[in-house]
Amino acid sequence: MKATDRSEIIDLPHGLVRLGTYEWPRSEAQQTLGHLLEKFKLGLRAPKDKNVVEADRLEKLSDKAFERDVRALLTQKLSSLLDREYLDWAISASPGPLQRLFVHPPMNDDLLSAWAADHDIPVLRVADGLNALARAPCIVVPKLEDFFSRHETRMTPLFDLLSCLTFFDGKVLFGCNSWALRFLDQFEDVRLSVGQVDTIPAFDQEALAAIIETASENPSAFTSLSSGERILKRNDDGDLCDPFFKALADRSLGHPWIATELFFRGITETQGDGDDDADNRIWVDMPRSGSLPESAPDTLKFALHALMIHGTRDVADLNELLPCRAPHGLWSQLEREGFVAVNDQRVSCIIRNYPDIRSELGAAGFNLDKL
Amino acid sequence: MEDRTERISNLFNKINGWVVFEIVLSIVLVWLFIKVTQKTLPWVSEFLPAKLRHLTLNSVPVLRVLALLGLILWLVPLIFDITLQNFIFIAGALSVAVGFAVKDLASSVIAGFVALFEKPYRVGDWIRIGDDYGEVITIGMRAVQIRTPDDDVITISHDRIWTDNVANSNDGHGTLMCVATFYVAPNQEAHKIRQVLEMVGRTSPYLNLDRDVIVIMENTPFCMVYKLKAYPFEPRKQFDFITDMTERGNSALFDAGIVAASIPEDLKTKRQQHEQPAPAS
Repeated sequence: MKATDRSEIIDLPHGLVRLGTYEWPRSEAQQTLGHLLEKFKLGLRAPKDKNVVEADRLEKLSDKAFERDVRALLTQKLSSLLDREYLDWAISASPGPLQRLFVHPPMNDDLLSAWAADHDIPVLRVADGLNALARAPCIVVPKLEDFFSRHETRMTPLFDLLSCLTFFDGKVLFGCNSWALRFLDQFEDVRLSVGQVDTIPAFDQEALAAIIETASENPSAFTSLSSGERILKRNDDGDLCDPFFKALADRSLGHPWIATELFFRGITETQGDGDDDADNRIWVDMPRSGSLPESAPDTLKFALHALMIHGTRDVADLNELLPCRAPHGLWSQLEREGFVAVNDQRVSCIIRNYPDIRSELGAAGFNLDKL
Repeated sequence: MEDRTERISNLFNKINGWVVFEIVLSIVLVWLFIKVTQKTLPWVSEFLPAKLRHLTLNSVPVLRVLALLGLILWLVPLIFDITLQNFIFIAGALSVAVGFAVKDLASSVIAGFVALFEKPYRVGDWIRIGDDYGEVITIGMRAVQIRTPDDDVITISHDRIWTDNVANSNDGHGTLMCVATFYVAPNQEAHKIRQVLEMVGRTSPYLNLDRDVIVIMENTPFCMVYKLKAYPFEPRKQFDFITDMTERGNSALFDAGIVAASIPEDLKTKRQQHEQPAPAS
């Protein structure tokens, strides 16, 4: 069954939540300490917990169709959350707040732009474009982070935009990444302009299990590599028997697009050896945490922090936002550590490693995003 | 004479081989415990963010005092026969010994004990005692050690808290205020200067976003003094933070056409005249 054919899925969140009410699967201290413990274990070169299948019998499995179905299903679900929260407000002429803000942790897709395109709501990407949209009843500004750089002379475009929008008669739906909002929250101009702030709720183990179960052709085949249990098997009370999805929700911080990428990364299959039962299983494992080496200079962390606030940017732009000269090899080192990808001199975050980036920055004392 | 000898011998319990072994073993175990906590907790704390680091580091002196108290409570009944009479006798003897022989040491130790609860400084705090400023790295029984920005380690006796003021910049918190000072010529747009400097503070990569940024100004005879005050996300970054604010602040003020203060010409002339030697008559 195609993922897009699914209209109703139980156990998934039904609406956005107000900023500040996000239910983190693990507290910030737990997350940081857990990350430090993992790092400590890595430093000691501790062997990984014993799995039920030897590593040399496992082969990475990449099922593009399955991945595409899961991503499509997730996008559909996230879009429906936006529909529920914003669609009536955006298209109706009824009075209501003129500005609202949708905030989200870093993600690969531009969810808000796609949602606006689906509903023919104009999107404002550059401040100059506002004149052309002056008569629109509602506009979407999908990425506030594109309008500023964390530099004393490069905040002006954002303030100019907010100033222009005060004279705009229609409704404005802003989008912003959670790190950028954490930075922008110190400016009264922003706090007073964006109105009510909503975010995507945390997806717990049941929600993640529902997504995988719905999108998969053969969900019962998924088996935990560490316990040997079918991860979607339920007990008499209807609860999941294996803690895999709980661990996945914890590790992904409750962000479903990160959880699914981690899930894809952990899928393996056994090389055929005639064992029918084993052939019927798809093994899943939690990928190991990534971390910066202890000797890593602070510049790497400042670079990651700048990337979190500004999102995908040119290397040259980000280098100018560091507190000191960017050393040669800075971004390639981060690429080697698996935290970023550099394509055409543009840096983006490897989304499945976002929880590790967050933990690294938290352990170094940086201000983290708030949801 | 015999009576005095008997009284002194009544002070002590019978000490046999097993008691000696127990005493030595307790001392060794407590010493090991103190050494292990002194080595491992600071090492572990280096992996932690500022808040947790302070908590971990501050547990070191507390654990040491608890261990020593435990040791004393364990050993005293083993060695002494505790009665009210004996207690008064020992306390009197100790008071005389302490009063004459080691009063400075005792004063420091008592001050250290008071400091543990009054908390004028904790490990990880940035403090100033007299002319010395630095991060508290250890709190011993007698003295506190601080590491200065010049990487000197200074040992300061605890009894300084009786006589000197102790300025604590972060007081157990994970951040402290940093100040970058700018001198600009008078009669310029104060509002614009404040805006420029505030933006410099707010866009620093070192800024702690949980705390506010403020700019205060002050009149002086020849210039206006602006102080940009903000908090870094990590106390150890305070000097980088001040440097960053100063460097970018100077640059931003220059770009905004703000003229920096300079010594007035008439004052220069007067100073030169003052510095020239008087002609020989």
